[in-house]
Parts: sequence; C-alpha cells; structure tokens
Amino acid sequence: MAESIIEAVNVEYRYPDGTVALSSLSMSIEKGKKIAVLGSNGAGKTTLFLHFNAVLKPSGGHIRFGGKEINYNRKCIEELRSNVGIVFQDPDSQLFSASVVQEISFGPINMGLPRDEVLSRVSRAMIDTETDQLGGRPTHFLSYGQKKRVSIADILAMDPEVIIFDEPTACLDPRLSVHVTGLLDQLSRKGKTVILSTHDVDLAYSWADYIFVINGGTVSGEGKPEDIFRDRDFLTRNSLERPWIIDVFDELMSKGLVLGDCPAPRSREELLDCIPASESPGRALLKKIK
Amino acid sequence: MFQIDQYAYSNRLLTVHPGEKLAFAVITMIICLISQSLAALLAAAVLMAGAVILAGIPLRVYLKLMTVPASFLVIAVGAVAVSISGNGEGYLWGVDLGRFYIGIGSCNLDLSILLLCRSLGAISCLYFLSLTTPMVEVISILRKLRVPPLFIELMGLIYRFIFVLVETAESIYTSQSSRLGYRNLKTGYSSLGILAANLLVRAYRRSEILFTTLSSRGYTGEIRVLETQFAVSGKNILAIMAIDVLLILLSLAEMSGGGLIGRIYN
Repeated sequence: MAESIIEAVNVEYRYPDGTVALSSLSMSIEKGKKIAVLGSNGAGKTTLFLHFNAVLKPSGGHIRFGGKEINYNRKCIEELRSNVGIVFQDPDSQLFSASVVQEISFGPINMGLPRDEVLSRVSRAMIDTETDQLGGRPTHFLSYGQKKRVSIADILAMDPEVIIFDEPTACLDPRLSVHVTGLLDQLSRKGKTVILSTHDVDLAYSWADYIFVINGGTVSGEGKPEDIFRDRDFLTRNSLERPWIIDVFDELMSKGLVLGDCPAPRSREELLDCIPASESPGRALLKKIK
Repeated sequence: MFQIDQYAYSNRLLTVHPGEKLAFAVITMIICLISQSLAALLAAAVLMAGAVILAGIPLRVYLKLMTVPASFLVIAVGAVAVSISGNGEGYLWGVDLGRFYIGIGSCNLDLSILLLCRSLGAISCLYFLSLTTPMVEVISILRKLRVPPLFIELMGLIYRFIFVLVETAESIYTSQSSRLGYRNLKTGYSSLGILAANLLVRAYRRSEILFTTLSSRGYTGEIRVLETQFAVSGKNILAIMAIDVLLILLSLAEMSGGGLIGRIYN
C-alpha cells in the first residue's frame, strides 16, 4: 500500500442537535493522487472535509496526517491547517475582505511567512488563477466566476500539501469549469494531493485516480473509476448515474463497433479512438446485413 | 451608494497616497466646522468639487450626489431661519398672527446662511474622500494610526458584508415578487416582514460559516492582511498644506475684520 497522506479512522461526528453526520467513516487518501468524493447533498462530504482541516473535531475515531494522529493542540492544528487547504463551495462565504490582494494574503500571513514571501505567493496564486487583472477591484464587484477563482487563489497562496475543492465546478459555466479542472490537473502534476467533491459523475470518472462514494455519513464504496462505475447495483444503491462515456462504450461494444483490444476509455478523445476508422468487423457485418 | 463605491475604485486619484487624501479631507473638514467665514467655507466647497472633477468623476454625477444631503439641508436651514417672537422687531419678512409674529429675522438669516455654507463645505470634504478613496485604503490608514484592531476588523467585515447582505436581500426580493409577493399593499407588508426576518437569520448563518472558512485558513482571533504600499508625494503634501493654510488665513482675516460674525453679535 502506498503512503497515505491523510486518513480518517472510524470517524464519528454528531451535530450539537444530535443529528449523526458521520458514522464510523474510514478513508485513506494516498499522497499525490487525484481523489474524487461522490455523494448526494447532505451525505457528509463537507463535514468530513472540515475534519481534515481540524475545524471540526470527531466525537469518535481520529484523523491522521502523514501517519501522525491529530491531537488538537494549537500547534498541531496550525500545522494541519497550513498543510490542508479547503476551497469552499460558495466563494461569498469565504471572501471576507473587499480587497482581492488582502483576501489572498490572509492565509500566508497567518502562516507567519515574511512579507516578501507573502507578496510573491500572492502574485503567483493570482497568475495561476488568472486573477492578476483583478488586483485593484473590490471583491463585491467581481462576477461569480471571478470570486470563485479568487477563493481558489486564497488557498493556492498557502501552498498546502493537500487541497480540497468542495464542488469546484458547481454554478460555473463550461469554459470556467474547464479552467478549474485544468488547474486541478496542474496542481496534481506539481505533486499535490487534490481532493474534490462533486455530483458530476462524468467529471469524477474522467478526472480521478481513485473515487470514494459517501452515503449516509459513511464510505459506501471506493475504488478505481473504471471499477466503481461498472457495478450497476452499486450505482443504483447510491443513486449515482453512469458516466455517458461508459454507456456509449458499452453500447458500441455490444454491437461490435469498437476495436477488440480497446481498454475502457476515460475521455471523449479516448472513446473516439476506440471507434475504428474504416472497415471494421462490425461495419462489414452491417454492410452484409444490408 | 454603490455608485460612490464604484468611483472610489476607478477614479484618477486612486494611486495617490490614501493618507494624503484622508488628511486633506479631514483637515479641511475641521476648518469648515470651525471657520466663521463664508468665503472660506464656499472656497472649501468649490475646492473639493474641483478635486472631485479632477479625479474624473463627471460633474453631473457629483451634483446628483449633492442633492441627497441638499434635501436635509433645506429643511434644517429653513427651520433655523424662521423664528417666532412676540413682536416684529428686526424681522426682514414675517406674518403677524395677532399675539405672535412668525418670520425671518436678519440675524437668523445670517446664521442659516452660515450653517448652509458650513454644511456644504463639510459634505464636500466627505464626498471627496468617499469618491476618491476606497474604504479598504481608509481602513488601512486607520490601522496605521493605531486605531484598535477590533474596531478596524469590524469596519472591514461590515463593509464587505453590506454588499453580501444587499445581494441576499435583492435575491429574496426578486424571488418574492416573482411569486406575486408584492402585488398589493397587504402582501407587500407581509413579504417585507419575511424578508427582514430571513435576512437576520441568514446574516447569522453567514457569520458562522465565515468563522469556519476563516478558521480553516488559520484564523486565530486577529485578521492580518497585506497592506498596499503607496508612494508619498511631497508635492501633494505641500499643495494640501498650502490650501488649508490659505483657508485658515481667510477665516482669520474675516474674524479680525469683524465680518459676518461681527455683524451677528453687534
């Protein structure tokens, strides 16, 4: 088993009003991987993420970071928060300052970095999220997409080992979605561990290395995307759709219209590559029938 | 209000050191509050209007903004000018109501004109500051002036969340009116009540969520952020000093010369 960077072990969490949010949830996130967490609204994804950042403390079980158990003293919490960043779903709940630069500088300053380092991190984060043109504008005159990118820059400037994105593509237009997923890939190439929660099975299927499915406050299934989405019963139990690529691929396969040795495609391009250019056995067969 | 804010971030004086702008506005305003000289007060109002035009704010917009306090001013000044007395002595114009006499006394008229000019001058200073200096910069100057952090942080958060709150109110209002929530006076009142109650609840929820999101970025009780650095311009400081000294001299000259104030007390 590869090295796990962050781990939830039998985590229990009950809200003050008694609602059980997480029940004996165990999840081990491998270092440097692209992880997707799927689950319906209210399944406990955000609650789990808040545990990974020590904002919430489990009522039972524990969280491990880099193999060490979190003991919730001040130093330990500070260290965890500099190593695990969360980009929240609604940028308006994250942006507290009217100035874009001040907003992004908040995290690195809290980490106690010197001014020059803070400055260079802020400007790098702004370039990476294409927000460098927004520096002089107040956050309340930004569009939703721009606010979203600033909220991502907030976390990038802290340069954490693990970055959690809570539904990063919700409410974004297709172009911005592509930009954000591109950013996730870029982070992953830099060796960061990227965790993303989403409802978008197509995104999870083509992007993730490994998928966790959360249902009713616990992990109901995990595995490689091609395995998770093959199990129809499992998908129905967890009210998940099948990614369209798998649907189309299976359909083509059953009609003999794909190359025999083609592995299950992960993207539109891979799927198209599976369809033979001209005379395939399938097409020859079709001709014969005609 | 949003229009003012928009200009604050996009005017030509944006790159001027906010400390200079704040000093200019505050010192001139203090002069306006103390000075008894009509000339100095009007000069201050005109100077500030000039500075605002210089910052690239259209005159039309500025005049429109001025109409907001103007309505208050007219009422207040009118109330000062009109007085009631037992006899009609010293009145420029008045109505005899038998036992009373209502009218405008010359003394009161002078006082109300002074009040009008004083308010105009002071308001111009405030408008100059709010049209040319973003709130964020004002706050950072206050921080440098060692105003307590609690006060500064509250100012920053309130400023930021005014906009979030207004946006929330707007979206609730839209969703209510799209379901006929404001079709008549009765439903209008009830919808407005629901809106207000919801806004309070949402504001509370927001503050909780904000605490969570700040904590996750290492907030431990104090909001510290990067301050923008501005170049201090000696030329600007000299100009500000020259203008304000001139205004003070103007006020003093009129005081010793027994100007308006002399006329009032004699």
